[in-house]
Amino acid sequence: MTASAVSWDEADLIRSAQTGSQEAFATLVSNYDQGVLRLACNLLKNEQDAFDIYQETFLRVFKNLHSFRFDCSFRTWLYRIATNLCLDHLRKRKVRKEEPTAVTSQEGIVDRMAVVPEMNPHRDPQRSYLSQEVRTRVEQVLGTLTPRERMVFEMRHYQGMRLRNIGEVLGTTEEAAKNCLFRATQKMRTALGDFV
Amino acid sequence: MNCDGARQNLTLYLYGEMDFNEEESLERHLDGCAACRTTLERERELHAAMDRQEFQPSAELLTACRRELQARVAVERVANRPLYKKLWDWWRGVLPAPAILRPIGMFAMVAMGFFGGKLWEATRGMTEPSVLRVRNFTPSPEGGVQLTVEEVRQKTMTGRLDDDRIQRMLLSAATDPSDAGLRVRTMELLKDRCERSDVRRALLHALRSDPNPGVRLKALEGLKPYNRDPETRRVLSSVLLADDNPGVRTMAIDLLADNMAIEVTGTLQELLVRENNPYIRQKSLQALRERNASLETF
Ligand SMILES: [Zn+2]
Repeated sequence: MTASAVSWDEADLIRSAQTGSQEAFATLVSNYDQGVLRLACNLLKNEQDAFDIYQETFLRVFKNLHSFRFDCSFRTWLYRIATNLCLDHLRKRKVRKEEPTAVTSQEGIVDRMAVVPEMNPHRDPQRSYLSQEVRTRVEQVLGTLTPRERMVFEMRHYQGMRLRNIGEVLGTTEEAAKNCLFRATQKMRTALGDFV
Repeated sequence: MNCDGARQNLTLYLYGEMDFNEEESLERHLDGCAACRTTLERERELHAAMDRQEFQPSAELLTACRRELQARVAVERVANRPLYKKLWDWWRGVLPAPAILRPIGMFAMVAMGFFGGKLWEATRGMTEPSVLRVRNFTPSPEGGVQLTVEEVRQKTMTGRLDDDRIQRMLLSAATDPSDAGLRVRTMELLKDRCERSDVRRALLHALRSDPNPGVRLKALEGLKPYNRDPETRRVLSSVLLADDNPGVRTMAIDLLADNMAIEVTGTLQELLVRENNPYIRQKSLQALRERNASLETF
């Protein structure tokens, strides 16, 4: 992406933040932090982990902002930092087999979000048993995706980012991002085929 | 497009990621193929099911995140300030001194504030004049303070200004954190000796980092003839963009405006983005016009 991707207002804000304006930095953070927090929450399914990713992401932004050279959009730069931290976290979790997305209880495999009900205050209490089942299945499938597939799916489906931009954030091509998305949705389709 | 091709592309279609021609060809196929339309509907339902999975972080979580970040950034900012600036802030925050006493300097103020006149009484009656200088202090929570005090015997040195020994003493006085008044007077003496590179370095250092604007202004005066020297230009640029004292910035732009180096043009353009002082803005615009630089973006 070219420098024109940065709007003038935002460029001013970034420059002010680069020279130490606390107000400019705070504005910059508040323009983007909800998206970053949502991404981290969706990917990690754990508020404490999302909290940590949020802190680490914006502290890195604070420490490295002086080196931001406007050769990509600020959003792309920010998401590069956030997605790298999330991917590292997902990979570590996979290796350590820690905090799996689905946990096994006496009733069999239960989705962690159902075990931790306060995770989603916006959840509709009237949700039918069927959609509860769908939810569990989606969670299970998400657990089987590779960190990369998971990331592309989150960014395209939940953050509404364009594939080209996702490729840019993840340091790959639009084509590679597209293939990740294909694999992710194919796995979803297989798992949910008889429900929807 | 055949049925296989159509089904493969339904995901991209729903995400709006197909190019115009492909989308056109898919829609033509869908118009004539009921089976693929049904598949599309199922795919839509799958999307809707996935939509409902979205986890919206609570407002409380966001607030907690912001509060924590604010604290961490504040720590980071303080951690990256030079030590004397930290002490300076501490002093300004803890001991709001009457303006007239400020130039005496931080360490002297601490001595006055905590000891009052006792220090001077203690030194009275000694045969040789001596000064007790506070070199370090540790405040305790009960309101007390532990001071590390250095006793200095005063000695008179005389010599010519260009004497090496005298110069070295003056250069060390130029960075003495305990006495801003002494630093101003040292600058006054040193500013005419800028042909020496160690003197120039001391002035550049003071300009960049002395907490007292009076010292910085004296340093600027001395550096006037060197405004074309690259190192001086670099420090002048950063002072112009970052010094919090408008008097210092005004003098910096007066020195930089004549310098036609390309880097100065960049500094002047950047200055327009952030400078509020009308004189400095005016001067910057004028200098940019003289070098026919683009003003369009401002
Ligand atoms: Zn068909």
